[in-house]
Amino acid sequence: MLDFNQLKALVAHVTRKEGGQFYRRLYRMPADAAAMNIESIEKWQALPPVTKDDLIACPLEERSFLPLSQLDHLRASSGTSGKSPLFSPRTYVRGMEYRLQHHDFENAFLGFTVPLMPHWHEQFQAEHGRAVPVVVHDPNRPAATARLAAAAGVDAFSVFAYHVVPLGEEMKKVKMNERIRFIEITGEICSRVQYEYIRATFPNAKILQSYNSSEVEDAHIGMPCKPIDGTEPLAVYHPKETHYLELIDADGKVLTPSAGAEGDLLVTAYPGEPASFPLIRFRIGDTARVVEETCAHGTWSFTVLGRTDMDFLKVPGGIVRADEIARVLKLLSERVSDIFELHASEIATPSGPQLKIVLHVETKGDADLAVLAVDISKMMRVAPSMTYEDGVASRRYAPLICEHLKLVAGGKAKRIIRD
Amino acid sequence: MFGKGDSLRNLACYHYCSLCMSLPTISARGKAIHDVYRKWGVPEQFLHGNLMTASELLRLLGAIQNRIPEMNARVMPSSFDPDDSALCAFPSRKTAGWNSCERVLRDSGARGVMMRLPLFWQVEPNLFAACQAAGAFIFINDADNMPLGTAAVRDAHIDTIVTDAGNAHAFARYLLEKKSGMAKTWIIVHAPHTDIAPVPKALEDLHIRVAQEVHVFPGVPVLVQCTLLEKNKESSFHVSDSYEHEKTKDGLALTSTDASPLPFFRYELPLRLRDEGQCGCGKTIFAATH
Repeated sequence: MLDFNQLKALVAHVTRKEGGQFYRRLYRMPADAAAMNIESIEKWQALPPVTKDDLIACPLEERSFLPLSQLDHLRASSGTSGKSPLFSPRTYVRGMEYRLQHHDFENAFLGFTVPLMPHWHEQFQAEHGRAVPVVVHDPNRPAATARLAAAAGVDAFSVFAYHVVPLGEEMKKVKMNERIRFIEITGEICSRVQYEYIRATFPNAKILQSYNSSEVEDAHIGMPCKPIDGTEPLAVYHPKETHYLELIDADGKVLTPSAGAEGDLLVTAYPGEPASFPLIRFRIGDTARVVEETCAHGTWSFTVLGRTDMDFLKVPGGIVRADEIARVLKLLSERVSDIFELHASEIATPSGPQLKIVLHVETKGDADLAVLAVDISKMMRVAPSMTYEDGVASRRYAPLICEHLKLVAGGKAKRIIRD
Repeated sequence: MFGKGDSLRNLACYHYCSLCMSLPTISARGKAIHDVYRKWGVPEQFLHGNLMTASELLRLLGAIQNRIPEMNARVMPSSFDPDDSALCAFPSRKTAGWNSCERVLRDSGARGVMMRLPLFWQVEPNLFAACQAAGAFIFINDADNMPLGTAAVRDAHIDTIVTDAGNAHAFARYLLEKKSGMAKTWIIVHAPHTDIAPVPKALEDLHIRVAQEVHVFPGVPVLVQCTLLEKNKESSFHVSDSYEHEKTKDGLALTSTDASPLPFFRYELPLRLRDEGQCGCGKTIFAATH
């Protein structure tokens, strides 16, 4: 992780007058003020965290520390509750060398566009003398992906946890699943049901999970501490050398990273120059738990428990959003209030894990929960052109279940919980 | 690699010469392609030297699928339909690039390029290389997610859209409806197996630049436009510099002139084309006919 002197230099760098204006505004610096000089870690900890709303509110050209012509690509992430999406600038790939400890990258690689763009996979491999082509994974067309991957001789891939089942089924059809020797899972946390599917389908693969964010320029926040081997917690990470991670409690107080400590994660990410946007104390919205105070990589390791205030949930083919659920419930106001609690999990099926959602709702009168579930399923969008019911029809999701909500006194309504 | 003056007519003699086991009348280009085909184990039945049809090319591809890893090639799909049961891989040059697209991006001074082509087309590395050469950044947008694409045009300096014909119609109409701004340059990719769709009405505005291409397989451009043809916004094209052409009864047959892992040899495009004379740029114009 970055040390205090590096953090101090970083703050001075991003608050210089001739740099981007984002941090000068965030820290309410006078127009003529010189770059900020933080003198202690306490001063650092007093810097206000950056939120996604802060980033969305600042136009891309004002936020970027580089001219747009020097950007490599943009990454989009959804805004919170009806806000515009956030477009995050990126320069070039860095910090992927850990992969070489687990795989030789001598043959073609299959990669999705997130967290690394296909050309980033190629650049990383080329930088290390592995000039092999990358096949692009299309999650909407797994059969075509598998055929191309088989023809190219792919023996390693990196996709979202939710992509693995449809891809795995297609790879079985073209008899290439046993050829796979390296899998890096990204995106959502890999559940045990998903892990067991991956283990059974790809018996010869080393399985890693990395923890990433669209807002972080060099993609990975959590570097895989070890391959997933079935022991809990499944995925354990350690911070990048170019990052600084902190855990804070509900009052914003920084926690000591002792084993078992849990808190809201703050991410400081600075891959070095060129950097289009150094991220300082970004509140990513995930709750993490410290696994070891000092892992084999010399720093504290952690696992991610889930969203701190979960207002959306990534699902195969889209996103379940709290504001979308509330919208649908309001349309059904004669039968139900807009207070809810959603529990998401995976269930094992003969064709692999399937998303299961149980929506706990406050009914009015004698509303039939089964009928309500069907109606909500038809109306609830998970993507601009896809409803939950569409996902059920394509066997991506189990049918929606509605149950009566039992609110604990003082408990928070409209929650999304990943079981 | 090949001499420009090679007679394509000589290539047709190959069939007869192979019977007598001598190669005196084969042009340097034909022999080189023949050698490539032999290297990858292309069955003899495909080495006849006559025009190669689309179905024949697919059978040839099917025969060499297991040799592709040795080619160290980029793979492109052989079909625009991801559910096509005959879909297989076409080996393409590993070096990333998309010359015709890069020219348009340079000429138009593109700043941000949004790719709305299906990911299984495998064109992201090629489009990215074109963007970087032209000083533009890339943004990937799933064609189904038009609200995000609209936000990118509005908020993220996207001024160029690369998409297929069907999506160009739908997305241009959507952008007009949302009144969120319109990208100034569109690069529209057509498949060769269907009638070439006209430029969307929403893009007929004189200030919007539209460059059209025909790809034989996704990501493999064979017919492109120069600046003069772009302005007409019609289905008229030039043959890409990567191929030599010969006129056939209803169209064109192409032979690769660059060092492709699996070059085309007298491949007859499955598209009816009419010779419309010489363009101001000096190249022959071919118009798609129905």
